[in-house]
Parts: sequence; C-alpha cells; structure tokens
Amino acid sequence: MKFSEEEIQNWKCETCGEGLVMRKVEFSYMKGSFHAELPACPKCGLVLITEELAMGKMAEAEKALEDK
Amino acid sequence: MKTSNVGQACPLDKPNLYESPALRNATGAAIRPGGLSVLKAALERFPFKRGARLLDVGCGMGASVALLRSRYDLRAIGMDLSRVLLREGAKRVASLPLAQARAEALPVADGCLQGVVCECVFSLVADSKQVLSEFRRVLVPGGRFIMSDIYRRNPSDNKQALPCKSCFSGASDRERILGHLIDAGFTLHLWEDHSHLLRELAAKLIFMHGSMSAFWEQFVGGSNGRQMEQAVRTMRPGYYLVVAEKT
Repeated sequence: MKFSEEEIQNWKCETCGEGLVMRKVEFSYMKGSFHAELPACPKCGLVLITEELAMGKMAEAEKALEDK
Repeated sequence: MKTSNVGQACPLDKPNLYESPALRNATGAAIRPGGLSVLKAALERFPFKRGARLLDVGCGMGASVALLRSRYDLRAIGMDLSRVLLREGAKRVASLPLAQARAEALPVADGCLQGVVCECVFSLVADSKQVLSEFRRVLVPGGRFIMSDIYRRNPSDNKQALPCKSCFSGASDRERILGHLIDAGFTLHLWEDHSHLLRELAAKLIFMHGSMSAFWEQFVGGSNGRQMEQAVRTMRPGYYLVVAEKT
C-alpha cells in the first residue's frame, strides 16, 4: 500500500498529537520478519495499519510466512 | 497470440527477474534471499585463509565480492553473464574485479582457486553438470565450493513447467542437487535449510507490489501472474546452503 503525502497528513497520533510520517517498520510473524514503509508517529512510534492493509497485503504476507 | 507460454522464456519485452528493479528494490545489491547473510554464515563456519583466491560465479553487481575482499581479506573476483548487473556493479565500486563470463566456460586456469562461491545462480544455468565440472576444474584439491539457491521441497512436483524461465523453473529437489554434487566429485560438508529467508523476501515483495501475483505479472504478463504464483506455491520452494569440497 502506498500512502500519498496528503493522506498521511490527514492522520495524527491521538496520544501525542503529532502528524504521521512514513517510517521503516519491522513486521514479525511466526519466525519471520521483514521491513516495510508505513505511516507512524514520529514521537511514540505507533504505526497506522488500515483495514485495507490488514485484510489485504498483511494477510497475504502472513500466509507467505506460514510455510504451508 | 496466446500468452500462456508454459515452460518457455519470459516475454521478450519483460525484464529478467534478477535484473529487474522490482526484485532488487526488495533484496538490495545482493540479489538473493537473505542478502549477504547466508554467505557470512558459511564463511564463519568454513573460513578461508587470508589472501585465498576465490571466484564468485554469478556475482551480479559484486556485493559478495566486495564483502569477501573487504571483510575477509580474500583475493576474490566475480563473473556474471549479465552486462546490466556488471555495469551497475562498476558504477557502485569501479575497482571491483568483475568480468563477463558463462558459468559453463570460466576463463580461469585449472586448479588455481581455493574457493568458488555460487549464490542463487545454479538454478539458472543452462548446463548444471558442465558448471559443476568447471567448478571442479578451477579449484585446487581440497578447495571449497559454497553454493546457495532455491530448491523444490515438493519432490513430486519436480517436472512441473512454470510459466516463465527463472530460478524457480530451474530449481531441483535436495536429492538431485546432492546427487549432482557427488557425481561431480565433491564431498559434502554441509546442507542447511534457509527457507525462512525466501518466505521473508516473499512477504516483503507482497508489501511492495500488493501481492505475489502482481509481482509475477511484471515478468510473465498480466494473465499469467496468478498462474506463476500458484505454480511456485505448488513446488513449495525452499532455500539451501551447501558447502562442499573438491576430493
């Protein structure tokens, strides 16, 4: 999923009040891990995972890591 | 014209998988699962003496050659068939000794190398027996051969043709690979499974391209992306590391 600058600017971290920025995030699942660029709070590091991302690419990536 | 070119080369207007930015943006300069980590793991357990002569066959942009020279102080050189990758390697580090050559006909004298490295390349070569024969020819007696590549973990799927020629279509199963090595006159020191690195690369590609079928579409044409994804899944691809010695 690619977020535009405009889309990212619409999101703020509720806890810190900071605008989200694109950041390299590490995903870990089962025994695998990989990196991806996702919007995150520059202060506390909270990552935005949209429903579309969770149900789409993230679900397919989890299947890839499951080794079935 | 129908595009379901099962078992044939990729469409001519599509890039080679290993030369494409679509893959290299995920792997970095070392175009293989795990980057340089598998080679480092092999060298820590089977080190070479400083100054030993090594050849990286299928060196791509020379990432492993640079590592072998700078970190391990080895006299490493690299050879690859791809002008695209060699040119990019020269742009990155102009002083790296990289040359164009086929793995089946190495321009190297007999018995002059202490080591041969071959990473994610063996499954791509046209004549694997001739390549192993060449590796044996250029190694000194007792010289070591480090190889990592994709293999089929579903042996019953060994004859399945894939929609596009790639390291997946040329991959064999464990028994066949080891059989070729022994037949070629090598003694096996290590077979190790690193399949988790291939799964991690797949997950990364999914995030970058949306899905594996979207990734494959760039190489096999739109209608065959899904077919390629399913064919690869059926073969249950894994990634191995082998260390063998010329006997």
